[in-house]
Amino acid sequence: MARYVRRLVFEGALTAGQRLPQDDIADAVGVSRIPVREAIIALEREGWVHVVPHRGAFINALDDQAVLDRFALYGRFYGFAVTRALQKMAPADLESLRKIADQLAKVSTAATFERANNQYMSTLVRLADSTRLRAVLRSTAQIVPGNFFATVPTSIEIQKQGIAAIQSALDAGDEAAAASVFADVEYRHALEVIKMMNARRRAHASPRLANTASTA
Amino acid sequence: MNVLPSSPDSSLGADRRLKRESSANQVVAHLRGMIMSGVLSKGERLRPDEIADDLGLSRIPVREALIALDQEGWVKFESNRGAFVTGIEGEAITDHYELRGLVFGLIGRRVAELATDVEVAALVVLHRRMGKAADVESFSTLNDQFLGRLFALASSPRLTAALMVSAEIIPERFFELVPSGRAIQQAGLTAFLRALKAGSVDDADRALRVLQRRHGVAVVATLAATGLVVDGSGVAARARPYT
Repeated sequence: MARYVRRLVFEGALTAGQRLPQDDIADAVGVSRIPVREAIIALEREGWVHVVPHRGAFINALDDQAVLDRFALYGRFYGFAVTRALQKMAPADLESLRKIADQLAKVSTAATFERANNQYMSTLVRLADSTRLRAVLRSTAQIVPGNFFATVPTSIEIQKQGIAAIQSALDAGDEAAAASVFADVEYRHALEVIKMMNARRRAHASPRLANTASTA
Repeated sequence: MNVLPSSPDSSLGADRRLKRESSANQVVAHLRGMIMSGVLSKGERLRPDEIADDLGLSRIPVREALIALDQEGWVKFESNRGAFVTGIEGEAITDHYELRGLVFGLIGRRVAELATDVEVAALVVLHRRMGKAADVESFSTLNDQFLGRLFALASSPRLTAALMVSAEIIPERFFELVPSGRAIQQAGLTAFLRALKAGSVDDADRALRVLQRRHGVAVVATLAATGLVVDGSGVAARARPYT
């Protein structure tokens, strides 16, 4: 149910300040009361809603700043991951990463790119070997529903360039450079997501204009 | 910086209410405090039935609490045998505070960008009162207010929420249990306020990151003194602070 709510907010179907229609959504998703309460707790923890006692859950704005904040967090957490990974990895690990990065560079469709990218990123996180980092990443849910690169195809090229830059920094053993690549890449992703989101909301608000509206 | 601010404006207020409703979380806090202060020692076994009896609760929240404490790194939980106190990895503590610092840094940037001169002046006044606080408890209360204001000024539910998802290593009575904590906090916020007055977003960011890192060092020292800090593997010794 939480996933459903995140999608609705992203699409603009639920707007800032609106009261979450818990029963309607529960029915739509097909869940009972207890999972609804758990979903709301999770949504509040992630910053999607805020709960007013006795009155319900209300949608927090998913505005440009919220997107920038979320991707800034990713940038910092992955920057931390790559720093720890660099401190701990052996030459064989660097070689595995290089192989995955080489594969990634050749892929272009959203589905295969997402798989390859997940492989690269999860390898980095594994090499960082930090329980706290894993816990933090687990609890930072995506803003963009579903396959990120299918929703925001312009981000594929951004991510490719980013990973190439990370590999150079890793080869040079440069922690600071590697971390700052992530800060930069996530910022650029945020800008693409903002464009995409605003285009979708315009389309949602005025379906007649959807065909004529240019993408931002 | 640890204890959740009590500002009713922040979403943290709701989070605290939700937490207070859960007996499992109360048990977690209770047991964590006992481990931290040495009442429960490393290697000691925690039996769900005994704890449930002592606290007058059913086994279910106690079991949930032991699982949560396992995830936090304080105990090792074995399904049919309860749990035993393990001691916590030094690197887990360091990483925890580095990661919190990264989030606080982003909050600091937002505050530096958005706070008016009047709001900064109010923070300075509150900080001065913190310096004059007669005891640890009143310092802690004022500190909560200070943090509450920062979160309100940053106006980012997501950044605020990001701090709430990772359980604190020493959530309750932080300034009581970590002797140097108060001085570290006061000095760290001095640096932060200086950055705000100068309008420097980067310095505000760095001040809060450094502050968290210093807390991390102090917590490792405090826990090490009671024999609670363990080495995971040789790898722990090599990790350097993230800059």
